[in-house]
Amino acid sequence: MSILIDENSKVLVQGITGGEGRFHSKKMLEYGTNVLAGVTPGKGGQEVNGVPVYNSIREASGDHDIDVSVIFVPAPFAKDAILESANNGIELIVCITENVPVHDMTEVYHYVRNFTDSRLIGPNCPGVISPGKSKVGILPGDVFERGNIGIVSRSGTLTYEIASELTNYGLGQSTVVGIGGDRIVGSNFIDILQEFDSDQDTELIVLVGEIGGSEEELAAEYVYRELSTPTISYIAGFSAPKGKRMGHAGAIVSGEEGTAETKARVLEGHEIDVGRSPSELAVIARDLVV
Amino acid sequence: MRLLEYEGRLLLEDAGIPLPRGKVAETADEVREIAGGLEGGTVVKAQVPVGGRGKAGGIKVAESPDGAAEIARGLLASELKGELISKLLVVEQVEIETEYYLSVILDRGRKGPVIIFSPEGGVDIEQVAEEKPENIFEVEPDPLIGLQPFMIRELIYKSGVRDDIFKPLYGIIEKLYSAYLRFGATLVEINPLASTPGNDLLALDSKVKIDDDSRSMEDVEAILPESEGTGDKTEIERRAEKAGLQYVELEGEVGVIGNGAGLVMSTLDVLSQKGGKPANFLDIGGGADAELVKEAFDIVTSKEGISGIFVNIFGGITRCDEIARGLVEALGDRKFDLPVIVRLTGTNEDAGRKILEDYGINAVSTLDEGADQIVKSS
Repeated sequence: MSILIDENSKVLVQGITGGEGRFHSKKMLEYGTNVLAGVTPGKGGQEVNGVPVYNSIREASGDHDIDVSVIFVPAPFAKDAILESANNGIELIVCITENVPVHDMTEVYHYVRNFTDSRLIGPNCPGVISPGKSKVGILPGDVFERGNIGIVSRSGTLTYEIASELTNYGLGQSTVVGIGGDRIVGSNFIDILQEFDSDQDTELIVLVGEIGGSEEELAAEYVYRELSTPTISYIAGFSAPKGKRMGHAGAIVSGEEGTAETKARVLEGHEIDVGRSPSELAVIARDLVV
Repeated sequence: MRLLEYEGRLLLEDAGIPLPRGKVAETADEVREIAGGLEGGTVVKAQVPVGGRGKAGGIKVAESPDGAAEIARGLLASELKGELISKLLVVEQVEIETEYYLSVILDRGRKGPVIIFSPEGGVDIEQVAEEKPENIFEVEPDPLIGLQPFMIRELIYKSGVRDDIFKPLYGIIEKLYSAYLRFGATLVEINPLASTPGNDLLALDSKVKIDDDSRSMEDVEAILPESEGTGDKTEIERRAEKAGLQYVELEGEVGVIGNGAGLVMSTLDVLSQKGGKPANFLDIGGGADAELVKEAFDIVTSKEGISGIFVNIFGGITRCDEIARGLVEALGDRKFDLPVIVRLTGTNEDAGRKILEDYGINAVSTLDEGADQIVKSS
């Protein structure tokens, strides 16, 4: 098993005629993902990588049964693309687009959660992969291996780094979820932890956090109280200065809140081991699984 | 992007929030002229992006235009909490009866805006929250239906302020929230919001932060035609911003380049754990081409006192051969005698390694190995 996506997921690409959409829909197809349709308003009737393009999700849904959409549209249109998916009953929406205005996300977050049945991942995220089954997003497929570790992360390349360290020890992954590095993202750590906990094939969860906000602290408490699956963690940004945005919009330490030390302390206080480097984390995982 | 006080004032003024009269100046003569145009005493305020300016001596009261100029001469070109003072805001001194606190802030935890009001203004709000949490009043506008009149009424009534400021306070809350929305702000704070003997409310000091991805950037820029963007960036940081690179200057000597914010943070951490001192954070982002890599290299090495460069690439959308080409180009123009350690893994790794090998660099394949080597050789 796996969470969110598997070999049966039927995927639609929003913004498929753009550079990123074109490139990554090809990569997803090569990986084995069922990419059935694409949407770009005004470009209906074309084909990209053999995938039919429609003007709207409504049109695409007439011809195909879609349960996942992945979004590559430019930032100013991301809100509209997410809402179009959510209003058409798409179960899982993965928004890869970065630099989405945070005010757009406050509206989208509350609307999608309160008034639709969709789950949103991202924005500004690498997507989701269930190794050997399906990938939705921009993650490099060959870094991941099928297995029993669930990874949930706020980061992109750092997730690849950690997955490859695990894979080197022969520790494959059930599903890897990049939730995104922005201040407001559709799914939080807790949403994904919950999914992993009810997945039979996930034996160990790796939570990859970074400076800023207090999602890791909330997750720590949740893991301690509610989760039966063993969980370990890695936090990036121990050497980050205060008040500076470290690349991600969400990665900023304000005052005492959001430092890597605080997060590591809270996680460890809730019996979650924290690796100080990606390689140390992999060693902790290996020792737990063997 | 955090605005300087005078920039934030321009936005608040445009939003119709009452402010003491005043203007920004860059020379003592300009300060004298502005002070001469205001009645009574004036307040001269250093425009630097730090809190606690008053206590640090960056805010001073002058009795006359000459006095204001005198203060200006003392402040200009000096440093306040490590920040060079190049601009001063000169405003009229007003008679204050009570100081309040008012802000609209984007709350990450609650995933939306919160309006905070306190009858105890003029001091650090975090301090009030800690010592007298009963004096902090909040209301959460609904992100979908917005701020409703009943919410404003509730907030004012529960705070128990005098009836005679209800009306001006109501108006300012409404306007401040509109400003928050219109400019795509993540913080608009008035502290203190002062009442005068005539029961007028005036925003005496303010702090504004705009979302870097705001849809309203053009609106903001139209009001701040000469905005320096953000007051708290260094020259190299601004150059990187122009190139589309995420760069943060740090205090050490080892230059760092990586792809992806999380990976670069992790690189800095591992480097520090091994005894290295990173000089910067630099994220070239996803899918960088050779040209951008070259620019990144030039930016990192333009900082003085660099003792070596560590390039950490995990190729995904980013192709290792593009990175290698960019590095060789950057290095090719000059005789670079500092150690350069490159870690390459992922997409097109072999091609990238080959390019570097031909140039005389043997790329390493793990983060730990690369960090060890740069610490040893720099």
